[in-house]
Amino acid sequence: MSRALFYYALWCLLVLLLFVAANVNGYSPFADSGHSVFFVRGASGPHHK
Amino acid sequence: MSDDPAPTPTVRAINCTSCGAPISLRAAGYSVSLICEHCGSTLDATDDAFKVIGKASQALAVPQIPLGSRGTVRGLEWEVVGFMRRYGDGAGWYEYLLFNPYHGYRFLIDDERRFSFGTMLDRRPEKIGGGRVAIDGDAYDRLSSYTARVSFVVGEFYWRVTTDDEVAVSDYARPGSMLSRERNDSEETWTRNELLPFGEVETAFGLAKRSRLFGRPAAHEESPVADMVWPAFWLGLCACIALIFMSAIERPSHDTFSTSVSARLDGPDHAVVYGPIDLPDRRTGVFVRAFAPTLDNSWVDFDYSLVERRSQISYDASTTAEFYSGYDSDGRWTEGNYRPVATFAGIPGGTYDLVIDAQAHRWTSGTGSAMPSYSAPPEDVPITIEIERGAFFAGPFWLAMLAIVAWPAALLYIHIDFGQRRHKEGGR
Repeated sequence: MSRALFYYALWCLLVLLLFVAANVNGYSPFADSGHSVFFVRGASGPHHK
Repeated sequence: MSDDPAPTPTVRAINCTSCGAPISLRAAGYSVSLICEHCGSTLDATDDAFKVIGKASQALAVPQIPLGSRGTVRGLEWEVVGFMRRYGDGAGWYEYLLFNPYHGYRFLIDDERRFSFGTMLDRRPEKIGGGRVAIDGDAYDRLSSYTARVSFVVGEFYWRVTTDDEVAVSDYARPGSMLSRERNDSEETWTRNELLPFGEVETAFGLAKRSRLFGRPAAHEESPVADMVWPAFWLGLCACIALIFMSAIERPSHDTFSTSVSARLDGPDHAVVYGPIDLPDRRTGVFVRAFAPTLDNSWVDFDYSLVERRSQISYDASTTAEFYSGYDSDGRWTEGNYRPVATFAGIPGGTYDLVIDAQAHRWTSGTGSAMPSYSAPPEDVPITIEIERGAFFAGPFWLAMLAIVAWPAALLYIHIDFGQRRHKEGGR
């Protein structure tokens, strides 16, 4: 296996791991609201109506 | 031409019998023609008087590898004794004649991108059908036939060569190697041109390095990614199958709840609280779907707040359900989505209430040729709200798929594009 293919295999493994992590945490960067890795979108402090 | 040991020829310094300039005869005893590098006249190298047998007919060009240069190619030292510029089949190329007193002559062919090492064959390849030929167990595909002409020549050669010499050429190629048959009225010769690795000739003769990526590839040049395309494809396919398999696994907490609300058209805000909604996982995705099939030229704005009971932290999202219809010159038209979805990602585990704020509006402006429907909409719009916990997001799936497929797809594109450019090249 060439070095490029080895790196590609590692890349695929990383992508699959990230996907599993996103799936387990119910995460999507395209969601309308909720948590992302870096910030909270659509959330605000206690302001219950 | 022979590979048998032969006496080292003496380099003879002579004066051109046409212009009088000093020139060297490097392969004395082997060369037949000697073209003066100062005036371009062709001298008879077999004649001690070096009789002029051809006059210069054009301006002299300077070879990139000077005559007399020595360099090691394929493990042997060669001296450049002759240089030709040839053209045919819409392309031009350079040929250097190399000489080694113990190994005879070879050709160094330069297509301005890569160099090929040419060896004249002492036997004719056999025809194997389909326009293909084979030699030493290697099959070559028929590539093209054309007339090649000499546009410039300098140095010494083992045959009579002059500017405007013509030969009929047929090329046969396989990755890394090409067979060229050259015919004129008196003889037919076959030459095997093997592609040299990038940098070998540049290093041997002290030339500047050439770019691998640009320029038209030679007809016998193998795609630079040929050995990676299929392994990358199979690796990517395995990763895609693994991705699909992982995405098909349903979360144990996956469940769906539903409730009904109604909103009065052009009425006041109407907020409904639905709960409790238990989210047992550490983090989970929640989808809230609204279903308002009775909308007719009206819309409903939804504001959702998913509020955690203990901390009162709220996650907010908004959607709009809408449906419009009318008639214009093309007939009836409809637009809108009366089943919008609001998505909540990575919601921490806990017990939540969903606050649903719905505002319904009637569309009355009737812009352009649109006409309001004649059927009167109901005053109250019934809406079904469906809450799905443990929902599966398609976005990360497609992002992961793209990340996996991108490299094999790029390799495939490079491979196909290279093949197309190679076939356009046609000649050497």
